[in-house]
Amino acid sequence: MFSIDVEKSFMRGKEPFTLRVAFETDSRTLVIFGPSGSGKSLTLQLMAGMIAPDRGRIMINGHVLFDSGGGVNLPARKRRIGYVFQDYALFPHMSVRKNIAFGLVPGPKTERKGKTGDAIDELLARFEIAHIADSMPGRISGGQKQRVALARALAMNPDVLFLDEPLSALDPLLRRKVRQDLLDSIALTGLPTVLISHDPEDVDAFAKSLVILDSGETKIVLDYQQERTAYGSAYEMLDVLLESNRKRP
Amino acid sequence: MTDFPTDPILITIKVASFSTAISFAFSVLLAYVMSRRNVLGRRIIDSLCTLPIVLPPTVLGFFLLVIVGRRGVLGAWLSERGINLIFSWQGAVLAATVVIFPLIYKSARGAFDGVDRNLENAARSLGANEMKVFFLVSLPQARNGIIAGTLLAFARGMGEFGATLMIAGNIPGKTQTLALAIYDAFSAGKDAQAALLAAITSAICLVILVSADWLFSPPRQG
Repeated sequence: MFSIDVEKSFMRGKEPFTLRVAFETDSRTLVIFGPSGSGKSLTLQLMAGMIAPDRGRIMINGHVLFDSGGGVNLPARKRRIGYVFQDYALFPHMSVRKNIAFGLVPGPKTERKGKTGDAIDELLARFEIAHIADSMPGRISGGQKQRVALARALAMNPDVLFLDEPLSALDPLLRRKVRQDLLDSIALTGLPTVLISHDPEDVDAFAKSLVILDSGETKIVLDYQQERTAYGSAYEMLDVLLESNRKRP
Repeated sequence: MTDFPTDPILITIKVASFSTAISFAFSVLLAYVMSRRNVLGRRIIDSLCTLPIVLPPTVLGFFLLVIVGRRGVLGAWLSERGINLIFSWQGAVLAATVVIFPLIYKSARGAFDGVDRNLENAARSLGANEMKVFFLVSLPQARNGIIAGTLLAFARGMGEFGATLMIAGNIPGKTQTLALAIYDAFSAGKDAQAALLAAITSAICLVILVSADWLFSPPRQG
């Protein structure tokens, strides 16, 4: 499903930093976990084609998106990745409806002319945001923004869903509810999903496979749910894994 | 006695409008490219684009004469094709365009630098090509800064004097703008006429700035 082996060097302030990410998994739901500054967001951006790796290869769902050896570098607009940004990146100058319509690709059911409006209405209803359809993003709540961002990403009929810290901008009381909604949405769409987070609760809720990113190096847990049974909590498990990761030569 | 300066007003507005439009198109595009891509010699280009702010307009006029004058590098080529910019209102437009270019460029550059790159990336991930990203996301997001710079440029273009005088001369009814007419009237001892022209110029500029403030100042987005 996901097969990544890339390298990217850049300057972080005045320090050179090299990110090496390599993992491969058949799981449809992958969580990338790591402390702040470990390169999680960067990894997602590399996979989505917003930044080009220096070298390596990226394969998702059987498609080669990037291959420095074969000279392949599919532009972001052709990767068909529904991307939900950490701060949602809703277009501030467009209404909720226009945001969702931005990348709208009519599905098979809505292919006939004049049906694009229906597709948007369907998404608005499904995410319970119909009442704010004409509001500007600056005037809606954090939870609503998150639903708009997800609806916008799904409107383009993506092949994969990328979620960059989708819950971190929400206040803790809301987070639990939104987490459940998100799990339901992912299950409903059946889309392969990559989620990045630094919250062990998210790892527990979402991960089928888990990639741990620390100081620019990767470690993968292929079957998270099974290995998790050996530990008392997600916190404990992640502690142990991060510790062992650091001890590697 | 004073005459109502219809010609200088019309010429001034014509020159300021054309030069603002031309400057706008070039400087907004260049500012976007410079803000987004790692152009070779970026600092030098940036400095060159700022130069017209600090150079005396007469120096700019001199450079322009060297380039588009009758014996100039480009001027000779142009005049073979029957185009002559010297002592024409088009020449005045050229002079004003160069003088006001940095005003739009600088503010557009700052405005594009301030646009959240994630918004552009979001548009790309939603299937938008670079043209769509620019017109639907970057430009609307940079709108306020660009408009502010453009209005300032228009007002500055209305008052252009030095470079215009060197390129287009001071021909009443043809290239004589308000700023040149004031100088003319004053030199000829027509103090009342000069005062009238100065009052009109100030009034037009004030109207532009006040209406701009009224039109654009509570920004629609917070």
